[in-house]
Amino acid sequence: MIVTVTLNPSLDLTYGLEESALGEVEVHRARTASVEASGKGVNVSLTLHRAGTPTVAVLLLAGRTGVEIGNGPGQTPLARLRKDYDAVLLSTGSMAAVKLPLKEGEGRDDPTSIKGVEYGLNFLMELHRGEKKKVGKRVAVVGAGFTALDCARVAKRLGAEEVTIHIRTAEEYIPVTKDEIFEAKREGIRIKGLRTPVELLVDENGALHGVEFAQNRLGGWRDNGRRQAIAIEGSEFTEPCDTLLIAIGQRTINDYLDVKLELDRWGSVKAAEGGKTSVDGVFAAGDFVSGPTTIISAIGNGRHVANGIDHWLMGRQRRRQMVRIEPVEGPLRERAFDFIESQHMPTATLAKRAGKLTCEVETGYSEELAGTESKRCYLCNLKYQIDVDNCIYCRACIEVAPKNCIKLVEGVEIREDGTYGELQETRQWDEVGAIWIDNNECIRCGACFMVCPTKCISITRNEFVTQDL
Amino acid sequence: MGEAIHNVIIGNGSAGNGAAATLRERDPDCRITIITMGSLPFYNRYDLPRVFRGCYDWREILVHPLSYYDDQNITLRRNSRVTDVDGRKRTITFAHNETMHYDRLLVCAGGQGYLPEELSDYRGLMNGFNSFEAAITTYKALPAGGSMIMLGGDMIGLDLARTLIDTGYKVLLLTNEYTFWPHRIADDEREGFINALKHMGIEVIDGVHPVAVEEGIAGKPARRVVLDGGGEILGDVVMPSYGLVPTAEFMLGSGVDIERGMLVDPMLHTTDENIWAAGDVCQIWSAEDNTYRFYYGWNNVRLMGEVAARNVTGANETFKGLDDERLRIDKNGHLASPFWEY
Repeated sequence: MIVTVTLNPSLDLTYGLEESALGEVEVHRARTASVEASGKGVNVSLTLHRAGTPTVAVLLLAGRTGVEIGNGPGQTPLARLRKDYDAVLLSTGSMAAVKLPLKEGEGRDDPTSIKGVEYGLNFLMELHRGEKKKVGKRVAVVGAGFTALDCARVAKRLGAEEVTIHIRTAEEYIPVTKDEIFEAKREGIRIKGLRTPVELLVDENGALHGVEFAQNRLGGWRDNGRRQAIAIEGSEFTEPCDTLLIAIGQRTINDYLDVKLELDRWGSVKAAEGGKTSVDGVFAAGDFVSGPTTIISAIGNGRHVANGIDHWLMGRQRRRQMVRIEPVEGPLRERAFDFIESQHMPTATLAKRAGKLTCEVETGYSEELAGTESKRCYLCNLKYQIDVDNCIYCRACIEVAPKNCIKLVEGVEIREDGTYGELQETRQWDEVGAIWIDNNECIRCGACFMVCPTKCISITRNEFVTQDL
Repeated sequence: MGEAIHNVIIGNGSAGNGAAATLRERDPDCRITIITMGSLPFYNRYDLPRVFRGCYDWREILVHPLSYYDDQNITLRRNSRVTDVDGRKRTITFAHNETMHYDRLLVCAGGQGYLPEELSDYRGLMNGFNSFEAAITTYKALPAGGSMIMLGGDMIGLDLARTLIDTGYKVLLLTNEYTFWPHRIADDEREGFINALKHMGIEVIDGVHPVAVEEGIAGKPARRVVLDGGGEILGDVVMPSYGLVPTAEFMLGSGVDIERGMLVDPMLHTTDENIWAAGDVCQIWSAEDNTYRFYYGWNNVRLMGEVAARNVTGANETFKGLDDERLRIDKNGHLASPFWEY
């Protein structure tokens, strides 16, 4: 018997590709995936075992998996986790669909009780789990986010003849990218704006045959930057459909918690700086706190909260964010780059996509396209500055500037509370107090840097870095 | 004496020029600038089919003599594409990076031919007809007695089809929901109107959908339209005719409300106090229909420009569209549309 001890075990996640060789800029779909225990000692034991030698791998592990958190039989309550661990992080996302508010009629309490009506999130999750999903010939999707677009595009692939996304405001104000909208339209999906569903129309067999909408007009702006829509009384109209996918938002689920945490007005757990909830030792992060965002925001917040937990556990801040400023010798961008148009992401043909749920739509940039697209980056981490003490106000930089990026200012606004506000521009030569590069307007073309006779313009690279204390 | 008020009009079609004439009439001293992406002065787009009757000189379709703009003290900025409007600063930015200040802005940028997104890859193999230059290009691409495959068949396209048939060309029309746009045709009326198209001499192909447009092989017509059922149709020119979509992209971010077009009240005022809109670019609130809607056709558009200009100069006039927008069949069995009248 050989015993191996592994102090730093790991899990090896392996993806198998169909292609025999990896191209440089191609998309390779994973055909198989496997997870195996690994680490030096584990690997040795594995090899010995395959060779027929009796062996035991001993490894250090922490944490629990396969545990269901909740108050039911066989479940582990949060209170128990708090007892067993110093800190508990809740990051269970926003995995429940927001209920469709209907004014009246069948399905008011539960729209999914009507045949042909599903919540989009469940529709996609079930499909992802391998369930067979069906849609009718005429599909209506209500909602304006990525989930709504995903539902519409999947419905088209499942054979729907007519798919329409109904939105409350207008295309300009919905939180999805223009490319996503374009690709959906290319696949034959329509978007109709300024409408709110108010009632579901059901036939004698209990199946959906249409949705009644109210016509909207645009209202003001909400706190979250989204546009309000106001339904117009007496403006109801009907759109026929046999499938309705509801994707008007997602919310968090926190009824599994046995510990009472303070909630915000939307029912999400309130988390302060560093992810602290109202209960000591319980932290929360990601979409579980903020509601549905993007994976980028969720990962960023997760990192931030990890630092918060570390701070709380250790009783002191061990890492902090700093700005590193380093000089750059010359411009890294050319004026001509400003005229490069956005490079459209190459996509699979419509014929290739039709009816196929696994066809990758975006096929990836070629090396040449990627190089061209990257030149469009404004390199916003470069800061151009004028050393006013050495400037002779010759205006040469202003003359060559392609944008209104170099400004003559007479002073700085001082707010009522004593803080500095906007710089006050002037066009009067005898009022000029300083010359200033507006880095929000600057396209980093370097024209000013090249023309300056006194070399008083400097370029620095400014980057966020994390520093151990 | 203060500086003259600068009224800027974006768009050089019938709405823009109707507005400019009204502005000049009501305020002889104001500064008027018309901005257009095109290279020609104001011409009648309804006259474009005349290129198939031998009208190849753009001067023949001008609405006003060339001296008109000087006589009216109107500045016409041609070949100028607006990329941004800042309603807060009251500035317009051009593609060439110039910035222009306005006191009051009237957007009459019209509409552009809609091409369904699924056919967008084939744009380069299709011909348009929404400008004099495009009309000439189409004319040159079509051999004498040749055939045009028209996709959709809106009222602008069908107007051209009338001329093509009259002048010895062949028109193959692939119908769909855009046929007769912007008329709304009831299901029970459709067959009658389709028969009227056939009576006009158009070869109507119903119930098929184009999925691709390709170059024809040597010795055959120059274009090949591939159909969803796997068949194909050959023709010398392919023209999409799916109605218009408002040219309003440059107004995104201006602070003005936009849905498909710029949203305006019945007085053609946008949500910005210094911006009005008229013509195919705007969606007008209709209290009668309880919705925002478009109004098309020369007469509607010209009137919108005039009403907007009067409101820019202090009036409070409400725009009311044509009383009768129905498509009809006349006693000779021909289609008759109020959108063809000018």
